[in-house]
Parts: sequence; C-alpha cells; structure tokens
Amino acid sequence: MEDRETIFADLPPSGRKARPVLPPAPLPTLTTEAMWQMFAKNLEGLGGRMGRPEELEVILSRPHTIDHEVATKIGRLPGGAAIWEAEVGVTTADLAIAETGSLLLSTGPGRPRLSSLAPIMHVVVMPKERIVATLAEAFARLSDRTTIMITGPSRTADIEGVLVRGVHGPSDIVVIPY
Amino acid sequence: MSKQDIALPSVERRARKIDRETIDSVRAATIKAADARVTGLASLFDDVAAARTQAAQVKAYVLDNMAGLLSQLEMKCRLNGVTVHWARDAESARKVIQEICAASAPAGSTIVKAKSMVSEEIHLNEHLIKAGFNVVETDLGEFVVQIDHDTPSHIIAPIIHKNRRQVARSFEREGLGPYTESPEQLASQARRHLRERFKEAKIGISGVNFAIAESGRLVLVENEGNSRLSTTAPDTHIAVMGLEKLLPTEADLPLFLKLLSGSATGQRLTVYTHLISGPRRRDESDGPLSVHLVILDNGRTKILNGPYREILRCIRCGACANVCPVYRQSSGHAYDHVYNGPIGAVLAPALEGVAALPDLAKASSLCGACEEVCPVKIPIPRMLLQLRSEAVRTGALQEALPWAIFTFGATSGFRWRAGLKLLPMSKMASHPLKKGWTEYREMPAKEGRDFRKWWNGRP
Repeated sequence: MEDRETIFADLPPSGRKARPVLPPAPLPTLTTEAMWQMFAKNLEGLGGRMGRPEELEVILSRPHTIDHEVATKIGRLPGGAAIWEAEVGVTTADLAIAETGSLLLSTGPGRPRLSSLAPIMHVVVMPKERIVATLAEAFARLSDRTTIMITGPSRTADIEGVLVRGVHGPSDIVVIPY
Repeated sequence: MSKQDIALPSVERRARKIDRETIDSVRAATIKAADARVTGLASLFDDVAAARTQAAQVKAYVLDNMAGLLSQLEMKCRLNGVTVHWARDAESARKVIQEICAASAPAGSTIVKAKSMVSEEIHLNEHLIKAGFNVVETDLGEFVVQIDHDTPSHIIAPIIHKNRRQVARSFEREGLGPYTESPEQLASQARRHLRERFKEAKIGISGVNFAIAESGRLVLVENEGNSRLSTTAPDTHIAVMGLEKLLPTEADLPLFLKLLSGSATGQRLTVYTHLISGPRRRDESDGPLSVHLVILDNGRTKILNGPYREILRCIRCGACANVCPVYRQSSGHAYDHVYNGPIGAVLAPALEGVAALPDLAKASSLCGACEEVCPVKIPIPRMLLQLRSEAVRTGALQEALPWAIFTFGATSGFRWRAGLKLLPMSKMASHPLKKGWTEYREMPAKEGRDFRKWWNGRP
C-alpha cells in the first residue's frame, strides 16, 4: 500500500468546481419500425445482415451454441457444442441501437460470453421491442453486469489498411428480430 | 557515423535512416486515416467542434479532481470484486504484475496480451518473458511486431510502417502457413495460430481505455476480438491503466466512444466495446475468475503538477500522428519512444524529463494540425514550444548552429538583407547538412521571383 500513499500524496487536492454538464442529446421520436430500418442500414454498412426466423433451421444444422432464452423461445435445448468447436453462436441481446447498428449483450445465467465471440458466425435472436434510437439511451439503461457492445463483424486493417473481416471474432453477424 | 551526424539532433538522425518503402507505407496509411476521420466525425456529430469542446471540459474536470475520482474508482472496483493495485513507477508495476502472474499460473504458462500502450511503456513483455512466461501479443499488428522483434510505430496502427510483403515473409518464416500476400489469408493464418494460444492461456493482460469512477466499470475498445478473448478466456485478467484514464460517469461514454473511434479510424464505433464489471459471477458459466486492476503513476502525478498537465487529457486516438507532416515523412520509429507523433513528442519528455529526451520537441513544424484534430483539444504546439525553451534554458539542448546563425542574421534588417545577397537560396539545396535528408526526399526548388525586388519595384 506504500505506492498508493505516495501517489495520493503527489496528487493535487481536488478542485471545487462542479463537473461540466453535457447538454442532453436530442431524443429522436421514431417508431420501432423506423428504428429497425435505421439499425438494418447501419448493420449492413458494417458487413452484417438482417435475417428471418425461417433461416434458423439451416443455421442450427451446423455445430452451434445457443443461449438459454433463445433455446426456450424456439423450443430447443440450450448449450450445444463445446464453445471452441462451435461454428455458430446463437445469442439473445439486451438492446439493439439504431444510430450505430450496435448490439448490447450483458452476461448472465445461460448467456456465455464466448458465444458471441469464438464461433465464426454470430446469430442474434431477439424480441423486436428491444431497440433504442441512440447510444445515450442505451447507456442510460446499462446492466450492472459485464456487458459487451458489438458493432459489426470482427475486423482489422492492420495490414496496409486493407479491411479484413473475422480476424479473431465472427466474420458474419445475422440479426433476427421476432 | 560521421562527425556531422553527431552534431545533429537524434530525431533528425533517425528520421534520415527511414527508407523510401517505409515512408510510402506511412504516408499512404496516414492520409487515408486522416480522411476517414473527417468523414467519420461528420457522420457522428452535428457539431464536431462542440463535441471536442465538451470532451475537453470533461477531461479537464477529471484532471482537476484526480484524487477524489481515483478513490471513488478504487472503492467501486472493490465492490465489483476487482482487486486494485497501485504502482508508483514502471518497476513497481512490473513487480506487482509478476507477483499476480506467479500466484495465478505456473511458470511457463501462456499469457495472452491485448494491445496496450501502457504495457509497452513499462516494458512488461520482456520482464514477464524473463520471468519464464510465454507472453503472446494477440492484436494482429502487435503480433507481427513481436515475431519481428520490432517496435510499434503508431499508437493505434502498430505496423503502419510495414507492407503486406514484409508481413508475408515473417509469417512464412514463423511457419504460420504457405507464403501469401493476401491480407485475408494472412489474417486467417494469425487467427488459427492465436486461437490455440487463447485456449491454453491462464492469464490475459490488457490496457484500459476508460475507467468509470462512478461504477468501477473498465472500458476496453477494439476491432479484432483479441482483446475480448484475452480478457474472457483465461481465468485471470490483469488490466493495467495510467491513472489519467478516468471518466466520471457512464453517461460520458457515448461522447468519448464516438470521439475515440471517429478520430482514430473514422469508424462510428469500434467493433467491440467491452464494459467490464468484475470477474465471473456465480451464476455465469465463463469469464475470468479474478480481475486485477493495476493503476500506474510513472511520472503522471509529476505531469499533473507541472506545465504540461493538459497532455494527460489524451485518449490515444493517434489522429495527431496521422495529420502531422513530420510523422508522415519520418514514421513513429524516428521518435524512438513508445509514444510517438506529436502527442509523443510532448508526453515522452514530460514523463521522462526534458533532460532525458531533449530533442523530441523539435520534431515538429509547429503547423498546428495536431491541435486542430485533437478530440480533447490539447494545445500540443504550445507545449512543444515550451519544451524547446525548457530544453535550451536548462542546457539540455544547445541551439543548433544553423539556427544560431539564422537568428543572428534575422534579428537585424541590415544583416538580413546582406545575408540574402550573399547566400542565394539555390545553394541551400546542396547544403552539406541536408545531404542525408535529401537522399530519399526532394528539396523544393526556389519558385517565383524575389519578394523584396517585387515589393520595392511595384507600381
């Protein structure tokens, strides 16, 4: 603890000024439908895509893992393949964010963290009403658990600035609202 | 090395050694990134200038309230189950981290590392390798740097100085797969190789982009997924942060996340934003069993109490390097420090003392482009001037002879006019001091007429 004391002794005393108040971002009033349209456009711009529930049959024929919530919804057993062997991770999401095409996934029972990361394909099956227009709205209702925000497929531009998808995480993201 | 080389500042000497191939790589990549930044930020904010002002104000508030916010962060982290460690300097940080590693895994274990500038600052890898651990950088660029025994040359694009042929040769040499110049194929070879490291790793080490005082949340951003894997798959996660990486509240995140990704790469958000609230909970099936946060000083409280304190607002986006004419022509390696580009030219001597790095502040034309793009409006050019004057005042740096002559000539009208007659500009091109510089670069030719002649002769 010696280092802690040294550091705090060297820190200047805290100022008394109140923190600057950031002007609240204007909240757009959009219908759920309009928000999903905006989300889809942004997701596609990032290299992901929207899917339909009928696709799940084909998707689930590959080695996969599946979140508890989604399994219950579609009448399957949760779990599935060992995480490092799975080719598809099927998960739910807490929220979709229209303005950025992002997905917010908190951890919890029946929601392994690696399902949205280790397999080469990530499929999100989530209720339609879980969408907000802006990042600010999403962060205002963040879960207190570890949470990941996903904005498009894994990518790198380390080699000559050339965009490559799927470098460590999924190269494909499919979002299926129901 | 000739006598003349010794007389020149070392930044310039190093810059001269950068070859054409590297300059081409750096120029192309920085121009692309600077353009992407403009488009990206314009699509994110109605008023980019206002967003930068707000961010600067929030960071200024953080610097004014460091002690209070750090205590708050420490308390919240503890409540989240994160073990907090303090390190006054690099040595202390290395010691703490080595102790955590030794307690978490047997010697020889694999440690997967996410890209972290602060870990470069404290030379962590060399230390842990010496202690017997198998330390593996997992960011694609940092992985190439590691297998090539090179150093990163840009804050966010570590191999900006390399082209695909150089990466291809390195991967072939390391036996990662057949020779290929396709970035897709190279990335997939790295994916396959590093996936095995993630599976076997006992410890993951990362930096921290933002630590939220209000909630103790550790925020890490990245595009590849290697940082998430490093901080999710192993049983132990060690996060290292410089003590200035604070934000007061989670409500500050939308602004800063957008500014960081927009300024760095022009993306509207990075692919992954990891908001870590502590280790795996009892009802969760994966994630690290223990999370450690190492908070590093290493010269930062000294900066906070001195004239360069605003440099601690920096969020490490690299935008200043991308627009800097000196960086573009010389690459990060010319700075010979973990922190390079305009921000490094201030941060490095501010951390280590002007006496240790007296010439870095000269690696700038003071054009002001860095300050114009800085998302937190750090007055970099003013600080560079201040560092130069401090270096000369303290005797760490002598004014270079050509400048001393220039000053003598330029401070009297008579001497200036006489000098112009005696020293035709055309001769400057073959000036012996410029020889090394012009080997790979063109000296601009004199253009147009003589200004004085035109002025005096105008109707």
